[in-house]
Amino acid sequence: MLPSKVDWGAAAHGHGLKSISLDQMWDDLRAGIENVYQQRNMPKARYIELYTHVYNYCTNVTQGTSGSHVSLHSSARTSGTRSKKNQTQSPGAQFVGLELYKRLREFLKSYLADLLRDGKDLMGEDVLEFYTKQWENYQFSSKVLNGVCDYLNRHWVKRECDEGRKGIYEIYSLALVTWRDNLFGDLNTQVTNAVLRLIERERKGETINTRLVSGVINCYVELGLNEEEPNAKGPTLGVYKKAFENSFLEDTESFYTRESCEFLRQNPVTEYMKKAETRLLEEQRRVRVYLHESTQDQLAKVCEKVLIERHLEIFHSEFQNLLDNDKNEDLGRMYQLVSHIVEGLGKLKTLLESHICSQGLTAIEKCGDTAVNDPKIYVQTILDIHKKYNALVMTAFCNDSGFVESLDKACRKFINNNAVTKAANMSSKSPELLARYCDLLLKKSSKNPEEAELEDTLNQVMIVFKYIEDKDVFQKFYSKMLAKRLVQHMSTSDDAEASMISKLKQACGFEYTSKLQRMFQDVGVSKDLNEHFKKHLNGTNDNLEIDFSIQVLSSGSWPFQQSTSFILPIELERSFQRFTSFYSGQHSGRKLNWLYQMSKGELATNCFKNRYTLQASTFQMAILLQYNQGENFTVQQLQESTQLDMDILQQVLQILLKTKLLVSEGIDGDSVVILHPNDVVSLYLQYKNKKLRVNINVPMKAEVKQEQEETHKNIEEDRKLVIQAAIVRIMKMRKTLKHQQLLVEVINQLSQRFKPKVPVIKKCIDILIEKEYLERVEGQKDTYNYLA
Amino acid sequence: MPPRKKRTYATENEPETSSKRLCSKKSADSGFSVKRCTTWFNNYCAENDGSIGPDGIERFCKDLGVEPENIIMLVLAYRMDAKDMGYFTLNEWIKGMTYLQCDCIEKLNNKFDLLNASLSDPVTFKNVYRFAFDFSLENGNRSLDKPTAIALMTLLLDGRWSLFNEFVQFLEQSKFRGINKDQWYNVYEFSRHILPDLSNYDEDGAWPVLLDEFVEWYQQHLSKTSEVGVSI
Repeated sequence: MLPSKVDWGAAAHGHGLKSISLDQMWDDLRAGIENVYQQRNMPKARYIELYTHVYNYCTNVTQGTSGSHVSLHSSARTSGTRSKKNQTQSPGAQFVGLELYKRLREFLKSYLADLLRDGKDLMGEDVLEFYTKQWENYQFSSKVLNGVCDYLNRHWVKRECDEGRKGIYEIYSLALVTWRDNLFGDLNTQVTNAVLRLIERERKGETINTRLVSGVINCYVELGLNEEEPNAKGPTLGVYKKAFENSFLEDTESFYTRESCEFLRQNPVTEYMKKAETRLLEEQRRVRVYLHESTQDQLAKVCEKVLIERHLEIFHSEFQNLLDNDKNEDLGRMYQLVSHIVEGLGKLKTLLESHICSQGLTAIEKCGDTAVNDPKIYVQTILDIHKKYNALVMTAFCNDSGFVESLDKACRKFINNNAVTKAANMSSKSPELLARYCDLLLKKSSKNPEEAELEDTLNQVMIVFKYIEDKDVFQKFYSKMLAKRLVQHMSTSDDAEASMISKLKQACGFEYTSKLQRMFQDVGVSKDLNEHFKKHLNGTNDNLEIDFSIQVLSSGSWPFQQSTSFILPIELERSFQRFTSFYSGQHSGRKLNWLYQMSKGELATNCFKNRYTLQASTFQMAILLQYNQGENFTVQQLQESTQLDMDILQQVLQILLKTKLLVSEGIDGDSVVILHPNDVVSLYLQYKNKKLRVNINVPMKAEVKQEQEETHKNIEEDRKLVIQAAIVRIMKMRKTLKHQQLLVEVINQLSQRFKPKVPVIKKCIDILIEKEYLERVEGQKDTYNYLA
Repeated sequence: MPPRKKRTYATENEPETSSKRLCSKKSADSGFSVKRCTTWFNNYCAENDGSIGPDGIERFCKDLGVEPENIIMLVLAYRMDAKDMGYFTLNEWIKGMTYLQCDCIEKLNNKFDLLNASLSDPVTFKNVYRFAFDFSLENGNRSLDKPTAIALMTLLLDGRWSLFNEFVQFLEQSKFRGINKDQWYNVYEFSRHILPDLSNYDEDGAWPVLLDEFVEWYQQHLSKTSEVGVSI
């Protein structure tokens, strides 16, 4: 209980103006202080007495001068006012304080010296008990003393400090300093050692009295006075660090070094990681419970260094093990631990990347033979790998961007360059297979998935698409297949088609999908056109007797080539004429190019046992319709009546022979043969089929393969043009550019479509120089100028 | 200059011209005169259009004491800024001869060494080399056909480039059917800047594809010949 205010009036009244000598006062004061330090209970009155001693001493003790000093105070007294501002500059008052101060200091010193005698032979927990208990008491007593000497603090001490005098403190601080220089100075080594031993025991699993430790820590912290500014608020931790923290950290380091090495010698890494994790948490708790918070960071660093960083190599080799065995939980733990170390994760990222890449390559190699021709297996294999490792990155590696990047890099590698692409000898096999997979999904078939499932699968396709380098190849194949689907009305769902196109647009931009969009639109327009045409026919009462519909395609957007030579069968002539005149009536000035090779129809047969409906291509129809006129024709005759190119005729006949609708002597329809112009092809009147509706309009395998190869070749040519266009565009903008920069810009501009190779770009530059679009700058060998 | 395939050689000896008569010792010491130069020109001028044709040039070469394929002729043509190989117009003649300050054969003979020496100057040589391409182009073409290019190159680079023979070998077996201006110019640059071991060649650099392929071919060629060497 400390009085916060002093009733001066009452105090002053008791003593009056008599001058008091320090010696007289000191005895009593000292006795009182002793009581304080003996932890004896002190009544309020006694406290006030002691306080008054100090006060009187400070104000009344004369050293020869200061008559004015006295009167000043008496006037203050009679006026009855309190005046804290009576800190006069009278010379006498200056020395009034030092004596008292000195004696106080002496007192504290001797008190502590006695104390030291009791404690200096103690060790271990005993010394801690001693130290903490004594410290607590001392703290408390010193605070009381500080209160007693309040007046001294506020006047003499303050002035001394203001005038810059060193070594003078407020009494409480003086007490601390004295403790530090005396008791602490001698005991701190023992004390610290004892603390460290206790901590060690706790680390080894014992329960300890943490209060002993926290008591010591608090003491050290308090002792960290800033000598330069004794009144500055807040500890500076100098003592704490020197006397404790440094040794503590050293100890910690050696303890954990020993422990981790020992543990690793006898235990697997996975177990070690669990232990390390536990230890790290434990140390965090330790700081929270009984150390100073400032130690947290350094302690963490030391532990991480010793527990993790020193063993990084072991971790790295274990990482590969864990990956091989899919130990996701352990991988996650390793990630957490290693992420504490700066740059520690770099190696792990690299390992992950190569692991995923090799897994991908192996998986594709395994299914390689079938995958070359089965897009579904190919894409599924890729997706399986991706899904597995995406999950790993998301869970064990917390979606760390560096690991995501490793996944991406690995995927990009093994998707574009694997056993399948090697077998086909071109990196653009991947996009081709992906496009074919899309075709499978979007084409009508007996096992079409549900809409939601389809949407899902298409999203998965887009995941793979993202990694494809040769996106222009994908576009070419996709648009070809889309065109076929649209023209043959084979799309399983218009919504799905549109959804896919918009996904591609999002990934690659408008230009990439503009043609696809156009194709789509054309189909819609053609639908309307057909309606109009039918209405028109009805209106004119012109019965065509044939169900006739057309699709008008805008030639720029569709990947179809011009038709070859062909004569339409007579039966179809009329429809042809009617539509042509109808259309030119609607859109004069437009030219229609009929794509017979894409057209098809249905034939009803009356010549066989059963009445069959044959779904056939127009070319097939043209040939079969000849047999309305006869049963046998030579190849030559067929060629003349249909005007088909011999190669095409051969192909068509091949298929018809395979279906057994037609036969030719000595020729087995199932094998590939070359027919001679004089070979006779006859209608097989005994034709039979289980189904009544027969689709004979299927392309030959060889035909399909040929087409694919053609497409790839075209792509090379297209790319050259695209590169040249890009170069001209860039040079037009830049006017002058260095060779290396031009290469970089071209690659950048086209990166969305494909990765142009430097030799190809150089060829294009050569071509453009020869065509005088560019020139080399004279004197600066590797710079180009744009030639307008 | 390498003779054109179209031209036929005049084999009979021409009667001695009066060119020698024109250039007496006295005139050899006197200053340059356009009139004399023109007269000299007319000596060789046999064509109706007032220019010296292939025959005239042949005579000129004989008088000069050099073969028409001598590189000196190329340098002369360069100084004249002649447009067509095998023909000199009066203007071109005057231009070139004025530059050289020669109005008769003796003065020109005296300048021989100077002309040859001028080729050691890299700038002059480069200009002559470049000039040679346009000069040899047939009207309307953009490239020299392979044989012509090789012949011209031989004249200019044989002996001046350590890899010249290999380059010709490469060209002959390559699919290139001609050399265009860009390639022509760059061959020279290549010969000047690239070390014989090709160590400072950057195949991603701004060289034409022709030279990239030469480097590739040459490196393969080297490994083949070194294999042969080892087996011996």
